[in-house]
Amino acid sequence: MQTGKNSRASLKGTVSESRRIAENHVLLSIAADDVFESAVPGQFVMIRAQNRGFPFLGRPISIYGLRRTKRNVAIELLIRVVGAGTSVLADLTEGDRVYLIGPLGNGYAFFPDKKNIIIVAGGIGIAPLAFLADAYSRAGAQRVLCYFGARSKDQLIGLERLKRTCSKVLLSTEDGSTGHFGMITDLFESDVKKFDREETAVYVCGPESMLAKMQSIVKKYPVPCQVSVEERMACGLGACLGCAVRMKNGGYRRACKEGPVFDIDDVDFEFRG
Amino acid sequence: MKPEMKVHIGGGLVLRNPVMTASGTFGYGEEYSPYVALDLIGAVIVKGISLEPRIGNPPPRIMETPCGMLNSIGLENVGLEIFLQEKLPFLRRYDTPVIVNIFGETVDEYRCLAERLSRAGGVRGLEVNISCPNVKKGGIAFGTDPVMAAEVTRAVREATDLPVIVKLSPNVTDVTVIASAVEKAGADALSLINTLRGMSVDVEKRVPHLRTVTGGLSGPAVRPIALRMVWEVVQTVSVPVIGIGGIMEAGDALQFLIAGACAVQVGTASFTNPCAAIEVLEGIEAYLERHRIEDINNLIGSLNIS
Repeated sequence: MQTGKNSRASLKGTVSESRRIAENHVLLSIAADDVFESAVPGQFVMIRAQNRGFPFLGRPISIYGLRRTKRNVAIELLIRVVGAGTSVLADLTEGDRVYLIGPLGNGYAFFPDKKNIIIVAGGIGIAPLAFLADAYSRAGAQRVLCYFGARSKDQLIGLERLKRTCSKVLLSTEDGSTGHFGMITDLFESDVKKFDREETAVYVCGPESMLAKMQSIVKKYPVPCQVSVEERMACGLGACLGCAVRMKNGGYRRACKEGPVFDIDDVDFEFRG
Repeated sequence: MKPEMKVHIGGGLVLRNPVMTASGTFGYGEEYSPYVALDLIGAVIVKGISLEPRIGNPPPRIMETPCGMLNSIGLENVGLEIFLQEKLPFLRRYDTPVIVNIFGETVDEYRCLAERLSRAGGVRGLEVNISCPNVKKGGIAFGTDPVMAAEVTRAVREATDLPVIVKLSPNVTDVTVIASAVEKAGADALSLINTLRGMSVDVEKRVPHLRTVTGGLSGPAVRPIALRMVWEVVQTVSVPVIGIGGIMEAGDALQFLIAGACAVQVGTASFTNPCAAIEVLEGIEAYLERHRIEDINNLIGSLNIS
């Protein structure tokens, strides 16, 4: 039985750094409680600025990185400004206090012994996958291939880090400013036949249309593929039931609790679209 | 000396303090247990339970709005059987009264739920949901018609010895008409308000933000309306009234208590701050100490209108 409040989780954090790294993209570092040390790739936090009336609800943000510091844990969040709520987060500066709940949700299933670890990211979808690449690199994975696409060159965030943690980074842009001119799923589709089903694990995160495309590719060329999805959430704790994700079997799963990582075959993207 | 916080909320049910968690905002308690000392809360009201499991409405189900949020969950819940087998045992471990919110599409379903839950150990009260705006059948259809509301209340009253709280909808012209009907039909207490029907549109895509187009508005945006309705109902009925609506902190809860509510429910606030109910409770205690009020019952209904 609980004996006091917050006995297993801290709800506060402090911004230790905020860096604008591209147009509409900010990298936030938050000094957080030790409880975050257990965070694994694929998990997220609910974050809300303190002492501000807006936004009313926290925002679910994937964990982009984790560093142990002398005094606490620094978690890194990659914020892309898409609306008024993320705009407030992007405007936070060093020393600002935040409400922070986490780590939340299930991380990706981890297979350090598989020969091919493949991450496929679209835009801001790189956030949880860059954290995953860190973990595989640290675990000594044989080969980590990164397929990373975005609208244009300047939206391909954190390439240097990916080049350190991945064996190979393949790029695409929708405007042709760098890499393949087109969609990242084109590159993945032309390579997928080469990957042995038993020896491969694919991870994908990105916009809805890209996830649907990935689902059809891995249906044609079966390889195990995990997807992390995004949904509006109010609580992140499994209580509000706001983040329902439609599954192929007709039921719903909570992105915050049973997700945000799912087997890509199970999610009904047509329904979501 | 610590102020006396005990309150009577009808049907012989005494709570150690007047702060409860509102149905649909606190899951089945377990979801919040890492953050909240459940044994400090006055009572936990669990997510609305129906006889059969309900899958809920298609997403998107929620949208933030100025000082609040819209939801259209559609009463997704595990159903009575799984609630009894898997959810209730966890809550029984705590010394906190469990009140079960019940929902049916027919009067008979309400009756059946009341019977079954009365026999299950560890349930201390029923909150009859006749006010959900997000389901096609039942719910608000009962809550907006005094005759139907009374019929549901009577059926539940006859089926149980547990305290019966009826949760009222604000989506009516005169809430006191429904309140009186429900009181006459045997309700031990009334709780209000459920959410207000609302809507929001994505102007870029020209689509509603919610898949069901409309949803229920909650959060501080609704508080003044909730307070006004609680005050009206308190003057109309003689059973205890429980205040709900946008309570974020102790000062908000105190407004309801002073207006005559014998207890309050913290709802949407738990989404933005899992410890909200506990913080409201601590704030009320601090207020009583500061004002040297020895018993919270001396504060309830003390609104001074000259």
